[in-house]
Amino acid sequence: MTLQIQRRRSTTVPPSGTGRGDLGLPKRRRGESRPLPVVIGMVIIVVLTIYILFPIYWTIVASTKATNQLASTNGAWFSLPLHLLGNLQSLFSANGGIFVRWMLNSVLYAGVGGLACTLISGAAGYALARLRFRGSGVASGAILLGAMLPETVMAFPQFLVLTRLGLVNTYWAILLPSLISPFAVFLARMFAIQSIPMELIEAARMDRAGEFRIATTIGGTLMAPGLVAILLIQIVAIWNNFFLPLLVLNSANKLPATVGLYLWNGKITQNPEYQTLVLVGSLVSAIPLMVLFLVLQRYWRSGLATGAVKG
Amino acid sequence: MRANSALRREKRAAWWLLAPVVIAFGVFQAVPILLATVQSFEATKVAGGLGVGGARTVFVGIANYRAVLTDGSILEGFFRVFLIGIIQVPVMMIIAVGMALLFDAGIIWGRKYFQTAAFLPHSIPGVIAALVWAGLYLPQISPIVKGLGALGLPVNFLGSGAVLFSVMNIMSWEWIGYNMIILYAALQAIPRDLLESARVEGAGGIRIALSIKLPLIVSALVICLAFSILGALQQFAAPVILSTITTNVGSNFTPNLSVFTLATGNGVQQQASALAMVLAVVSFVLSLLVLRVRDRTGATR
Amino acid sequence: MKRRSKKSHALGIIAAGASAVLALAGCSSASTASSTSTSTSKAASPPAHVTISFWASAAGMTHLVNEFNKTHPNITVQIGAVPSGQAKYEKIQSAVQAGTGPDLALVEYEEVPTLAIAGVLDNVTSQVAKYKSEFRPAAWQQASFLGQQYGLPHDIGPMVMYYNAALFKKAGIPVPQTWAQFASEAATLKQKTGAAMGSYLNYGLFIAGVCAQNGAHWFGISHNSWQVAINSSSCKKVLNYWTGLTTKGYAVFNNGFNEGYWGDLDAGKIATYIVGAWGYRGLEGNLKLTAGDWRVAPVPQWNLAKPVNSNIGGSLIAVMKGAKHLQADLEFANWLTTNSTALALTYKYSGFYPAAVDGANLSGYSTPDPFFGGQKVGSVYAQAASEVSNNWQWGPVMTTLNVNFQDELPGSITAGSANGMLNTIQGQTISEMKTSGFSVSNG
Repeated sequence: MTLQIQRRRSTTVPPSGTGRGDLGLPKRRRGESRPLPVVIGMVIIVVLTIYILFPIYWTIVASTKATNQLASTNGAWFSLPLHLLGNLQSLFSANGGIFVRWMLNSVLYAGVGGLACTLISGAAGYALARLRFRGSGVASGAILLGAMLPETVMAFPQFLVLTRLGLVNTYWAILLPSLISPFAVFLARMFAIQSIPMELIEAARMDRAGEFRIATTIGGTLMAPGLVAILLIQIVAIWNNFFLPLLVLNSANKLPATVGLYLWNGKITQNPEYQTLVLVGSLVSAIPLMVLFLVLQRYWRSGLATGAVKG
Repeated sequence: MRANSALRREKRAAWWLLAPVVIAFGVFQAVPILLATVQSFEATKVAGGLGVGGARTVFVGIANYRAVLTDGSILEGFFRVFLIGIIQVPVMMIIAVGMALLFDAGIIWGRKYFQTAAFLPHSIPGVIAALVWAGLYLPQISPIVKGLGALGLPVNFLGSGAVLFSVMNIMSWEWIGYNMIILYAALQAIPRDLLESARVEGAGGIRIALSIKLPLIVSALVICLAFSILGALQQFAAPVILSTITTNVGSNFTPNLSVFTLATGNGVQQQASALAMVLAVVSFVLSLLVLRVRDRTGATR
Repeated sequence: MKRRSKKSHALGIIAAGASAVLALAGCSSASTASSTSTSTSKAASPPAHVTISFWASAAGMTHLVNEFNKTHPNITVQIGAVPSGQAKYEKIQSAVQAGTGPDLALVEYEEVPTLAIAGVLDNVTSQVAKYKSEFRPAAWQQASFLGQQYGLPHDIGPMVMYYNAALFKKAGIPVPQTWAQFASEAATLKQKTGAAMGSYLNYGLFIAGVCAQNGAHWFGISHNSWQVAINSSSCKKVLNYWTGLTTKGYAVFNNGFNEGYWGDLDAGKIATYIVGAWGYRGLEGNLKLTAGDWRVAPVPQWNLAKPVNSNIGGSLIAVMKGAKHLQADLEFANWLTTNSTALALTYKYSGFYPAAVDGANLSGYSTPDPFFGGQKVGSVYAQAASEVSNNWQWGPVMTTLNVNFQDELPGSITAGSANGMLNTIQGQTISEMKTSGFSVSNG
């Protein structure tokens, strides 16, 4: 798939030359290089990787400890006995097991919201990039402006709108606003420009294919890696969504995990047991995203690449 | 004639494809933005001396804008973003470019594993990343502070001079891997024959990296830079979390934090809207500039 | 105040206005989340079963609500999710004005004027009069504004001094009874053990509490006008006292309530923790090495002959505008604040010190507490609670004022004097209040 797109793209943008199908090259060069650069390079990468992974490691270590051990034990190493199982047990049983509910909510909000947002953004991006109509410039500008407003500000006016629609404290209050991400539309438009050659569309039109058929088959196929990248970006954005759920959700059992953990964090003063719950909960709540990124690496890499290379 | 009807078909299809986004944008972006804009020109006045005589909304012109733009501590927040822009962003980009070049040079064993590790922080929610680093900054529990102290290097990540750098570090940690991946992808797209011919002419690895590869990925670099600066303007989680553990992070540490402070403060809600508008305009102008720069560099591609 | 009426304006009359009118008529249907809109009228006869919504961020509330629901088949209380801190009141106000608010909410005393002015709270003066004798007078007063009651007091925070008796013993110092002794013993303690005597908390309620103890009155009401006296000499004296301790290293300036602070207490770097009676939960849960070394003593006094106490924190169960089932609401609120089972659960899960008079008799307070070396802490709390004066008035801009203090306090320590900070905040507060339309004068 990726290679196919590279080839197609090279037809639209002749100067970019041969593409990068010659993946064997780096390996060949590794064989040629002298040991010194390899050693220096490896040292740099290893040091940076330690910097990047240490906080994650520390979180894992900390989540195996009881609350009052955090300050009194060596933070860089595990203390016996491990409290991880006990901590996990308290996490999943606290307040009637509500953390599980929060995780499921997050999956629902991020999964459904992210998917729907990706689809409609993809359609819009395709239309903005590859179809001729009056108003496409204005639409692109408005969307770019929308992408600039901080969430802290949008949350309250959005709350007012949701109130009028009678959606406060429903799943829709999170799902519907997450449909629109100006940033996702912006990216989709960029992906469409880069991955769909006009010639292909023209050829399809010659074959009397309908516009929607062209959009779904050619557009959908060629934009797929880009759409996966958008999906992941949206899932992360919705998973991190903070102010809006805080304002529009009133029932604890509708909260996403991040907000639920934040509310628990506020109880620490009066009940320190929540400290461990928040710490372990943070770790657990980050796992689905990490797994998702690991599993879908191939796709978002090529997606991001498309965006960056000719963006 | 036929071309005309084809155009009409194309236009109709375009609007059908756009419809969901246009509707969602209208309801959940445009209307709220409009509400916020109107609000940014208003203020609420209570009556009856003690305030219990009812309240009314009045039009105050640009008074809210004047209030936020003449507030010294809010301007300091903008200055901090400027510092982040000239210190953290370049440092992070240099590291990301360096990593990307090393990976691209093909001299790193286990490249895939290292790249995946570098990207992991990006999949961790911002609030949680800040909580984790807060633990690593707190002298009482941080193994880093304790370890350096044992080596005779006392450090205070939360001191008044240091805490801005601590925030920068959290931002870098979250974004180095992301930028590295984008830049790596851009590097991989450079035609190999170009590099091969340079090599044949006797250019060394470092020279190839600096004088051939770097100029070819300027476009990607500009994008990464732009998003980093926009990210700094909207930085919220890190200062909020750090403000619970140090007295050196105030309520106006970054402009976006000022928006939150105003929005939750007493009687200054509309100033929050005004500041948000200012932020949006600054970000918008920045983005346009970046797009302009990118188009120009893109033209030389 | 300005914020909320502005919002309801932006929202339009339909949502806020109409629901307020309906609420006055006693039959609002739209004012809570979908799940609570089942029953309709309380005006006619008491409905067989009602559902009420209650927003609280406090720890342990879920247990209390479950217990109530179990024992009260006619009423179902649904607990709502709200954040703690400044975002909480933003949410409550927005929701009540939009007609999506709860029937009841746990609200800190300091926010009562703000919320009452905003029209968020329901005036229930006549309906709650019968409960008055069940609560401490000072707490009852805190649940009111301009003589109108807005709910039932839930908890109070009379100041006490938690201290590390082992450190005191090591330094050979007695428990200080006055602030003068506290300061002079701090020198000895520092010299003998290296530990700081006190904790200067960068926390609005702490600042208000220690100032109030010395007779300061930040806000007053006179002739239909607000009096603001944040920079009074009594407040300056207290904060300069703490600034002095801090610059000499006799007190540690900290936000409190974070692992770092607990770590310092547990490492014997700080000998005392002055806070509301509720503070022991944080100590017991976070300290490990020094468990058993801690004791509770009355807070030091400025004038031992006339002991005065004040609250650090405390909250009420406030009735929200638009509450639909007042009878059931108050039945729940009264149960939550006075029922012995409820108080025992509160003691167990959150440690809030009850505002109810009977709360002092909880068995937990008269049981020897191993964390406090077997001390029975209840008598210290009860004495502290009885010494709280009932003439402290909160202002209508407490959220902003607290933020201002948190922003200015670090600079005041660098400057070595609290005077500049207090003058600045006094000026800011007056000018902000005037801009909002309040009538204000220097108190």
